[in-house]
Amino acid sequence: MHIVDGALSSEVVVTGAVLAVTGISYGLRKIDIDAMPRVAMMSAVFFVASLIHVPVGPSSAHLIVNGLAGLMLGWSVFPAIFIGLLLQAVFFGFGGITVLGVNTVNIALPAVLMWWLVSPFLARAEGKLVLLAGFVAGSGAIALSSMMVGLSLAASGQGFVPTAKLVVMSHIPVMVVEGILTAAAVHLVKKVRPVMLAPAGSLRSVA
Amino acid sequence: MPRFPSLYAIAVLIGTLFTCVNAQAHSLHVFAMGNGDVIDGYAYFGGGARPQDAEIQLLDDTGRVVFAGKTDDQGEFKLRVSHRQDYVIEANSGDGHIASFKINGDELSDQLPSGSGDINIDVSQIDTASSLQSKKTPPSSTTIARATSDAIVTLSRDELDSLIDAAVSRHVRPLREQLVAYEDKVRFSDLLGGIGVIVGIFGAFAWFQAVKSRPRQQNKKP
Repeated sequence: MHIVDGALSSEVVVTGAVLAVTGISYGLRKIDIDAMPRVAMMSAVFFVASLIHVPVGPSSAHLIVNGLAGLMLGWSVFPAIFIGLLLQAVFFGFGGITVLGVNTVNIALPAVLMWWLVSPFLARAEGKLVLLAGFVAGSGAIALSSMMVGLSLAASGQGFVPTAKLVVMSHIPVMVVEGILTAAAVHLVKKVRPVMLAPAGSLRSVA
Repeated sequence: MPRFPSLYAIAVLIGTLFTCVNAQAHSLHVFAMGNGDVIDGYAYFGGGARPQDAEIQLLDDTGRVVFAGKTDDQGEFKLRVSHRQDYVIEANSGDGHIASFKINGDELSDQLPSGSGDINIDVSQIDTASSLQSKKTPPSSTTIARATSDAIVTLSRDELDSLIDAAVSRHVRPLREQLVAYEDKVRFSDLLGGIGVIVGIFGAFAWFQAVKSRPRQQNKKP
């Protein structure tokens, strides 16, 4: 899921950077002070989760938790993911510095989409439906991210269909695991601290 | 009935995941060594998985691609080169991961003509399956060993050199593999450091926001 330096054409890198800056600045404006610890926590969770590998045959995929992060942060998922990715690049050599923008967009945009689709339903859901909504958000975010990685590589001159197939196939186990994880997490949060599922920035408008 | 079944589910899931956690940077790596006139090595993902049929390219010291091929189903490759110089091997697993590794010319046999910029370098891929066959047949060194028991073997200086080279590279290889693996390891201190930095960044941001939104008169006591 982390595309490395040198795999993409400069057009794609620049486009990714522009989109990422837009998303990050919009996300930063959406964070209010009450939601700050939550954004920091999800950023840290994302940073650590990428070290948890789901072994799949010849490839190697890891958790991303962008579905859960999206549900809890809304637009603020952009700065959270960006900081996580930046530190992964610096500490562990995941991805790289020039492709930070593309990677941020590939991971954060599906998270925002899932939040936009699932959040309204989640707010009204009860019991089993909460689990379902969580599963859809968790696995759907990974599926979309895989597609976007395929798109980024295709725009840089690789064939889209084989590349996307490769990335999506190797992430199917991750989709299942993250679906279950997100379902369980959302279910728990809804019981204990339902306010945490109100995305960052919406608290101010409510109060 | 536990009060929060979800909490247990998460705990169990994280627990099972941590049993198969590889604290390895998730990225593609490639490792190769020169031995005689052969460059052999393998590509691998952090965590140990080997990419099958990953694209590999051999670049000469001017950055020209002198060979393009694929790894076998063990992620390995074996290339015979015609000239002695520094090479770079690049691997691309096709899903956004690229890795490269530099092979020093002095690992290759000095009986090869040393190449420079504008010559044609012949590179041929050796089938790794056939090389497995040749590993099973006893190498010629055993005949030397048998001969030493009853007669003195004469070796030319060149033959002796290449024998020593082969022996040294055979012993150095595991050490170099360990070094590369050590570099790939995610260190727990880095992990904690990263979390600390994240908390610090958002903490500073929150502080900045708090200062900005607070009226100045607030610190005066009414």
